[in-house]
Amino acid sequence: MCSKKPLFYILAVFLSLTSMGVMAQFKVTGKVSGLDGEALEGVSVKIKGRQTGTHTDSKGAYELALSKAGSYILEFSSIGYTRIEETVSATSAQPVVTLEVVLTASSVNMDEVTVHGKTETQQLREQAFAVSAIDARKLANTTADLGQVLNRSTGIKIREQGGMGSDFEFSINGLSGKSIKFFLDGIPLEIMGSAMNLNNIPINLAERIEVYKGVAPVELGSDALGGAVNIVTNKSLSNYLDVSHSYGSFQTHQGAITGQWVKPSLGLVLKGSSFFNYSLNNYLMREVEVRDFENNEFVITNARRFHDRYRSWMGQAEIGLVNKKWADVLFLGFSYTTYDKQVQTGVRQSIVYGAVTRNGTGRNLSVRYKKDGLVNGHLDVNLYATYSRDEYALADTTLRKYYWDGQYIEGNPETGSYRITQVTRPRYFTRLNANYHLAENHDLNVNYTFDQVTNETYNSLVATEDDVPGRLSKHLVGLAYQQKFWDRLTNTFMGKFYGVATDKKQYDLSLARYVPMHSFKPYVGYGLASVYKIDKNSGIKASYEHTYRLQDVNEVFGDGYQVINNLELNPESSDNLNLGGFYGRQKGSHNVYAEASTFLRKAEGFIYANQYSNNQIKYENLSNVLIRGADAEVRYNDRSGFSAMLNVTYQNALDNTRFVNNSGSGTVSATYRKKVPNQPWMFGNLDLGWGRSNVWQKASRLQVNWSTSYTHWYYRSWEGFATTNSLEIIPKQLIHNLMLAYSLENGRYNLSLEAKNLTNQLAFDNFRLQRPGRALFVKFRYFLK
Amino acid sequence: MLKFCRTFVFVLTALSALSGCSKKEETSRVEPVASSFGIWTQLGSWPNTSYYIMGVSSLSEGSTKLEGNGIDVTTTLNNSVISRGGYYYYYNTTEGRLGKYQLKDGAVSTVKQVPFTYFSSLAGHTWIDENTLVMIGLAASGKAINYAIINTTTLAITNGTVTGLPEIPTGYSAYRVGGDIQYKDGKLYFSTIMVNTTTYALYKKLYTMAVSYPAFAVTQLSTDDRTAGLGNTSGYFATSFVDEQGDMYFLTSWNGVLSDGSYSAKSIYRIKKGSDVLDTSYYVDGSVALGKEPAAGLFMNLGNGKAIIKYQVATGYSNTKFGYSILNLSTGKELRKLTEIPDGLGSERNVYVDNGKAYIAVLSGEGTDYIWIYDSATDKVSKGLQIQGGYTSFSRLDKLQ
Repeated sequence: MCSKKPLFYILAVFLSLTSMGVMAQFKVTGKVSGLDGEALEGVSVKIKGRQTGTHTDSKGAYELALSKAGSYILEFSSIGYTRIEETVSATSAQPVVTLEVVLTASSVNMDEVTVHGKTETQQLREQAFAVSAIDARKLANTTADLGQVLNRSTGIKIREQGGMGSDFEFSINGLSGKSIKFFLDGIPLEIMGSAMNLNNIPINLAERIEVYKGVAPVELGSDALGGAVNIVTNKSLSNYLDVSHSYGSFQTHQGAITGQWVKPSLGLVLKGSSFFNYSLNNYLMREVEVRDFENNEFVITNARRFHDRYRSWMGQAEIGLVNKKWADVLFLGFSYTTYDKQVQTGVRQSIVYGAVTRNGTGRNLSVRYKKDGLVNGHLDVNLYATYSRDEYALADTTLRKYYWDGQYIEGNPETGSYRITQVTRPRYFTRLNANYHLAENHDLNVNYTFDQVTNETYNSLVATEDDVPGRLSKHLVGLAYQQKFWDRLTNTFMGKFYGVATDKKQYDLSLARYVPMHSFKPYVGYGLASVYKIDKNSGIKASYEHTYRLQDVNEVFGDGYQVINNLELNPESSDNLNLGGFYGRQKGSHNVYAEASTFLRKAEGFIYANQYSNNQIKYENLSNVLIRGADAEVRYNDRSGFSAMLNVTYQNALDNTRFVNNSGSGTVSATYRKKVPNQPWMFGNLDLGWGRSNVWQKASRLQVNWSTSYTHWYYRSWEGFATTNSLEIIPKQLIHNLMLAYSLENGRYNLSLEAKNLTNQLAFDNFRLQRPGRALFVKFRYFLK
Repeated sequence: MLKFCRTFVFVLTALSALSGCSKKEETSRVEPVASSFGIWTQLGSWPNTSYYIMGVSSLSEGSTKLEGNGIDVTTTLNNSVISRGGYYYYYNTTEGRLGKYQLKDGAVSTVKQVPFTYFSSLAGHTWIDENTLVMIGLAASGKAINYAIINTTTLAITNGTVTGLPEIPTGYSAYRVGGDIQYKDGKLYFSTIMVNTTTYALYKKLYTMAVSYPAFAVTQLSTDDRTAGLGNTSGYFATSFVDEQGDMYFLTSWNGVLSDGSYSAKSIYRIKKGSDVLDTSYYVDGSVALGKEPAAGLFMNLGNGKAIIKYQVATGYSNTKFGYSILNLSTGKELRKLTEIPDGLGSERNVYVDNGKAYIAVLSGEGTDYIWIYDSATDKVSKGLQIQGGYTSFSRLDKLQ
């Protein structure tokens, strides 16, 4: 009896194996190729709604087992190609189905104005996060930089100090400065060096710009207190070349080239991009002071800026393999950026510089890897690692006082300090992101970022190195769980861990030597983002995050001389809430999309330097702000080629610092709950466009765009305290731009003319610094795909 | 489509209308009244700090508040101004100008401005007569001390470099010049010390100079090893004076770190009338005399043989509260602390002295604030003008007319 048991088991196993073999007889096989007929390796082939899947081999072939007879929807996807779905039916009569698939490269037609269907940017806007998404491809013929484009979005205000390359302050829903982080394809922009700024990157380098307001997804692993801007570049896998150059007022040149060469059979990709900017920025300053040398007094006149030349150059190259079994993407990249600029003014335009310069270079070596579909199709991983080195120098080496007409008298260092300040910042950055598909409609995302930067600053006129460099290391771990219900409700729960380590040497008076100092502090943030889609085109959404802007090394440890340390310093923190809704409707040839949101920012402990009576300063958590506001945007387009966009933003930023110097007790501050001065609080934008194809010539397109920006007046100082005659306001501003573009051969050749500040309005910015008047530009662009 | 365009036009019109009804209509409409005194008041948290001159008719009585009553000087002046005869004189170092200003119709009115760049910053000033202002400051290099003689009517300037300075010792690279400058016996008296500009360590020796006027040549030098600090009688602070007997007193309260890591003493010195050198029989260690560390920047003559001095409630840089004490000038002994006055937050030149009385603007940080009045004749403290609280500092107290 006993001897029969093994036999029984063997038989049972055999039968079950046999039955499995019978089941495995149902399968689908075939080959995936590109439009040019070349086999595509590494294409993901999955049964829709299940985890069953495989990848194509080096010959583009695949074989996927089916559990039983029936109809299946197969999904074919690959980096750089448009995902497609195909239906197959396996029957007992035909258990093996053959399916040949041709994938087309993702669209790189940058001129196409999408009228129907949801664009990627619209899909983003319908996410749970409060996102402004801008399709940069539609703007490829403008001479605008990314900053100028973003400045036309809801909730965003960029305040530049001058023309091209000037310093600027970027705010999202009223929070600005270090509160806002910038990314290029999810990687901090500053890694590419201080030459890479929003206000000098030409629009042609971006495919899309995403602005996360107040609540940022865990993938952007950063301490973005007020929000994040992510510039997304072209990810298609086709060959293309985009070359453009513009020339305009103030001897301004902007050149950009971006291109890609792909060898699909090898999965080999070469990518490159570069830009060059140059401008004299010698625009007219109106009603400024110059010195009357004869009478030794000041007279008011108009004068051109004379020390504001700006140059920058960026080159970036990547070589990589795509769609391999072991990697969907593996790229090795290098970038180099450099800039040099003359500095024309201090914080006010009455502080005129004539010899101060700033220049810098950034180098960056990076590797990125991506693999989807691991662990039976459940796990997608994404890794990025880089080493970068950013160096810049600020030089103030004359003893002169300049005036607006370029004349000077002998005097003191222009910035108050005779120096060449050298700053070197070597940096290691690593990001690991893993997305685990728990079950249908349930995903888990883990993100770990390690970001370490050493800051070496010294005056090269008196020193050769920084004796006390500071090192800041950030460990950021994000965990997000996303669930979907009934294809209508999506919830994303987020938890973030912030670990900040600061290291610096400090001089110990009692020991008479430098001693290393170290500090590590952990913080926990959390958030939730939800969207409920009422129907296909409308929905409501809400998002909340408790978030931080971590303290910097010098804020914690000072410089050992004038800036004393504050080991008790806390990070800036904020509770950010967004409530919003969107509505889209397509009727006949008309397409309308509207979105509106309200927001709340309760930010606490802003870090500023506090001066003590012995003239030393210490960084402290000095002020709190409460911002409430709303913004709305309406977009319209139709088949006739007309498009329009109108948006309005209102934000009421109140000083929420209850006690003087945030001391925690005592007299209630006189400015408590008063509107924060020197900040725009209402602004809006109107864009009108009209385009027509086949004008004068086949495959051509004529496009006209008008845009208007309005900023309401605001107080320079606190409201309600000053006498009427001494109260300063920053006047309202209404700026119009006009662009005319003509394209030939389906956008291969493009010529555009653009007039900025058409009516030559006096445009201001921070502290009434004048910005350029009317400026004209012409741009030629060649686009080959 | 047409309807949609109409909506756009409507919204645009609404926006334009909004922009039209703006500007100053919404601001307070308090008519300016000529004031006798100005209380410099700072408001708000950094970086949104604004500076106002709050005009009041009396420091001794009544109540006031800033609302609608503050002349906004945030972008025009700062509290380093020199005040005399109803005018402010201000050296704006970042803009390279010297100006004469007046408060008129609730705003700062410019009388005259001239280009001026002779000092890296104003270290000190004194008056030769009603119409002649002398200012001193470091040259940009830090290796010389410059002067300017200013005709305050025309703003005509004579400038040059002080000659005969003591040499900078090895290991030190620049001078620091004190603002404790006074005009006495037809000469100017002020002090200098030396600093290593890399380590910021001070050379432990005070050099006090008698300097001829208007030639600006050092005629006599006296030194003291007990301090390496300086006073500061720029616009911001007041640490020196010539009393009714013609003796000069000054407080070296602006002290840094010495090369051995220690801080030097905060001391009071005297130069007797008719003498060009430090009075070797007179030396007051402020911390010993008061039992508290003197604060930077306030030591004023009250008359009646008394002086008022500001001290730190706690020793060291992290101190944020200040009190006031009365000294017997001739002995350097403390007469008493003004304990009737609550400890106040940091401020600069928040005391105005007139006719033997000290008017002290104290920002207590608790409830209502007052101008506290100390009468040196009666040794009594009384409450004067009541000021609504909640401001960040009272940095100056000036007589305007």
